[in-house]
Amino acid sequence: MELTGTAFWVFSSLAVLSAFGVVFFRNIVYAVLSLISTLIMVSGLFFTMGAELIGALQILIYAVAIVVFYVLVISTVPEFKGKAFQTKYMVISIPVGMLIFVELAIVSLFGAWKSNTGVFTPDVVKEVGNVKAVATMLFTKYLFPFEVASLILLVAMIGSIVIGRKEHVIDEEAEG
Amino acid sequence: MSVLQELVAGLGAPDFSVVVPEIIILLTAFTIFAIELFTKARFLISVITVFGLLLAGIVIPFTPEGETFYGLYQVDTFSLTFKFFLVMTSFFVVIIMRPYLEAKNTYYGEYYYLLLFSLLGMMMMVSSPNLITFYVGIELASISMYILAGMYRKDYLSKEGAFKYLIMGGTGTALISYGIALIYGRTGSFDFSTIATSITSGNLDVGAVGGLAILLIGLALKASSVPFHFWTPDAYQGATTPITAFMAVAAKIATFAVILKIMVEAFPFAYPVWTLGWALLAAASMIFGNFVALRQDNVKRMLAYSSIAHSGYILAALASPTDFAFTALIFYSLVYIFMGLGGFIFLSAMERQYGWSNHINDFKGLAKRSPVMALFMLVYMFSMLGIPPTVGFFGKLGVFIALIGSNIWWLAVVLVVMSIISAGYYLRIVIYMYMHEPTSKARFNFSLGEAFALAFMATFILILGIYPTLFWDISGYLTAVLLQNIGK
Repeated sequence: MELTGTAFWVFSSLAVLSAFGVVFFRNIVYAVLSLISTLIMVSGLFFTMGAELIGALQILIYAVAIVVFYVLVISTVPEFKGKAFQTKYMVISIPVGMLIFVELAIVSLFGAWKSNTGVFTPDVVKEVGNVKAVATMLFTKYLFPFEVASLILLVAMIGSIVIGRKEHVIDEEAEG
Repeated sequence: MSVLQELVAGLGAPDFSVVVPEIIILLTAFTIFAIELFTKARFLISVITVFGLLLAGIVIPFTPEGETFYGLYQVDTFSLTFKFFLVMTSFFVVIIMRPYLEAKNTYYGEYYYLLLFSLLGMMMMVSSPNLITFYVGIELASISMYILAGMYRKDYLSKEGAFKYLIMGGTGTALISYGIALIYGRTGSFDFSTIATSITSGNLDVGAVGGLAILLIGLALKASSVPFHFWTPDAYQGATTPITAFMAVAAKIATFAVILKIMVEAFPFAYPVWTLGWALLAAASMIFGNFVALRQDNVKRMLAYSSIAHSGYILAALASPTDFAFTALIFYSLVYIFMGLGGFIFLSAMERQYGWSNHINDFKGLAKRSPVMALFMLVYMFSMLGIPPTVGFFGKLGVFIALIGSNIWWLAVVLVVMSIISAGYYLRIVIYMYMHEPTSKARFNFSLGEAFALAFMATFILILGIYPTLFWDISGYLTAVLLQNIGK
């Protein structure tokens, strides 16, 4: 128990520290590295709470896939290089950020949250593990949305090809 | 392990007979997807699409009702009726699409199957008894639509509009998922019925109200309600006109249906929150949409603002939580299909003609150049304005009576005043058509599909205007179905 408490404080303080880094680093590559650090610390928080599946997904999806995508965009779009934060954006972003923070804080402190219901009580989850619990729901009750998600990915893929392909080749085809 | 085995053992195969229309649409989409690779026969592709849509339209009245996919998909009269009208809308869009795309040199086979995927998403939206099904449905519908909006070849405006649509639509989806997360935390369920029993008027705490408010903002963004409408004029103007018709009619109708369904079935006892929210949004949409539309010279952009104003008229019904108001909302959304499709299909047919740029001056003397087309446009404009022999009048009347019945006079007054102001731009088109001399003598030619679609819409608007009880009874029945579903 002592160890979990220590881990919580270490992960959360590092997460906040790296989040400051994301906002205040002048070099955008450092900012992205801080973002990776934040995401890994958040996934550490998930691990301390016993949600090992979400922790692993956090690393796999955010820290690996999304951030790598950011790095690709930064390295291919020249305008991004060397541009640090500008004060004119902070006029809007700080109040909006504070508003979201306050809203989240009020809702999490004063909302009447439901304690967990259904078949998956903490004992059952401890017995079968997170992965099996999530998979059982995903492939039985939530099978339909899961399948539709694949359709969404297909549509997105078609769309990126249609909009991104070179037009002059297609034009010649259409003429000929 | 026994818990998991018990969970799985109780499940049978899902009942596929209730989702036959969806399966037909999906198979048609995949068929075109495959055929499009091998053939350049554009006629064949549109024929297959039309055939698939007709087949789905015929099957829908005979589809059995029921729940399937383990309670995540609900097929009842409400969803079947809306599915029928969505399929009908897509049918009319598809039959006018090919001549337009060829005239504008922007033909892609992708238009057809992306439109079908979008339709599939809308069909899921209207038959969702669960926030997750609704969420994936709205995602499928919107993502297909972002792409459709950006597919105007070599047109900067189209890309810009699609980009705005993507960013704003993405924000809307993010807000919806955030709202859903809060509601899930508060009630422990995604099912409408469980949410309805968990959130009652006695325990509206900050979690429930916060979740509902954020969900409401996300839905308002999807319904292009002021002040979340910024994407609408650009996306509507930039997209190819048949796709604009699809976005302005099918997507809106599906959104209104799902808003009504979520509000009534999931939050029946939280009505003090959402009636106020929708009343404010509706008033803002009516005022802003109409005043900005007055200043537009581009008719396509004007109709886009007019569609914002119409989402105001339709959502105004949600200000009063009575069954009469819900009936009025369903009635207005169903009849809006005919006016909206008519207006945009008219523009689509006209844009193919020589020298037509959608500017208001192009309408000068249209009555002398093509009396029948001018008459059709007159019917659509009168109907959107709400002049008695057309059905638009009864749509507005229904919402007006519903608002008065609940003593929401301020909104009723806004509705009437804004309808009068909207005469300024609807009648302007009519005046330009009938009271000016034509500036060009170029002859028009229309395809069979366009002529049929325009004639069908105009005739139906007049028939419903004389005999509105036909749709009013349907709407009343759908409201009854919706109210029965509460807490089931």
